[in-house]
Amino acid sequence: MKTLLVLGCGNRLGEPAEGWQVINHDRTHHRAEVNYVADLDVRPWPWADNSADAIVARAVFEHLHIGLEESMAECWRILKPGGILTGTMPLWNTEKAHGDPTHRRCITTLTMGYFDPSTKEGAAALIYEWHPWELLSQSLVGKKDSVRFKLRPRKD
Amino acid sequence: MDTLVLGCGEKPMADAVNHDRIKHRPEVDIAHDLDIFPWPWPDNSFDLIVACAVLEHLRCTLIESMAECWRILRPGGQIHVKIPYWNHANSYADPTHYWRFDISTLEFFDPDTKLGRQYGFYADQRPWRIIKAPVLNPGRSSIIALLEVRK
Repeated sequence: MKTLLVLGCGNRLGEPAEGWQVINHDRTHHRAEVNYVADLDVRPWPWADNSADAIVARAVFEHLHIGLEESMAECWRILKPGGILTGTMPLWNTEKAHGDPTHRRCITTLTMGYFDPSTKEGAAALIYEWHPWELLSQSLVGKKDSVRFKLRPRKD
Repeated sequence: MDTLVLGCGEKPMADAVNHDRIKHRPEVDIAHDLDIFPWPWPDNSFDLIVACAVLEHLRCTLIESMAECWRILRPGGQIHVKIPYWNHANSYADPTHYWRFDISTLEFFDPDTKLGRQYGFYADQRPWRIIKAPVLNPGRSSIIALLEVRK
């Protein structure tokens, strides 16, 4: 059985698939399908090391008080080797990024490169709490106001 | 003249105390997390602080970090500061940037400016004087300025 962890699922639940267990996490139990409640600003997050095959974080990290490098460190820890993180965050120069009063940060289409040592940004990164990732993609989506990213932890 | 380089990164200076969050190269003289107060220097320790591309990496506000700089500078001491400009992608690309600023931001610290008079209560116990007015760098990604403590 593989595990899909949907962080801050809101109303976009993980789609059940054959052989997959879906954890629909959110900060409150705002609908019946939410089957894991936790505050992601409290570290460590309540999932074990190497316990998820995939993590989905759509429009989540920008709402947290903890830093992006800290959220990425938690995802790195929880994903199994070969696991995949996908998600979105708001693009910096958009109304969407700054309009929501619960948004604490926004990014560009370079930001996720800081976590991959094989990119220009990652090679120069001086990040205090940093684990290496392989950046698979980062690009604009939606009305070109969100950055979608896909990464795999380097756990060799 | 005693100089402190905060968050020296890959640009440590000769004849200065080079600080960074971790001792990642031998030139780093002292490692400290600047979000932990007080910073590890006594009052009135330095004549010059160089803070280029460092204060935006802290969780604490610019009011708080500038207050610590004020404390450890001697009377007449100056700070050379470089901070990211709000309207440039570079200011948002780095995942460890917590702040971006406007050209007007540093005026809040100088009671001789309009904003400093209006909002000086933010920094009223730690006033500064703007020596070189804040300007954008040629790439328009950062603000550079020189300020002097009023003690």
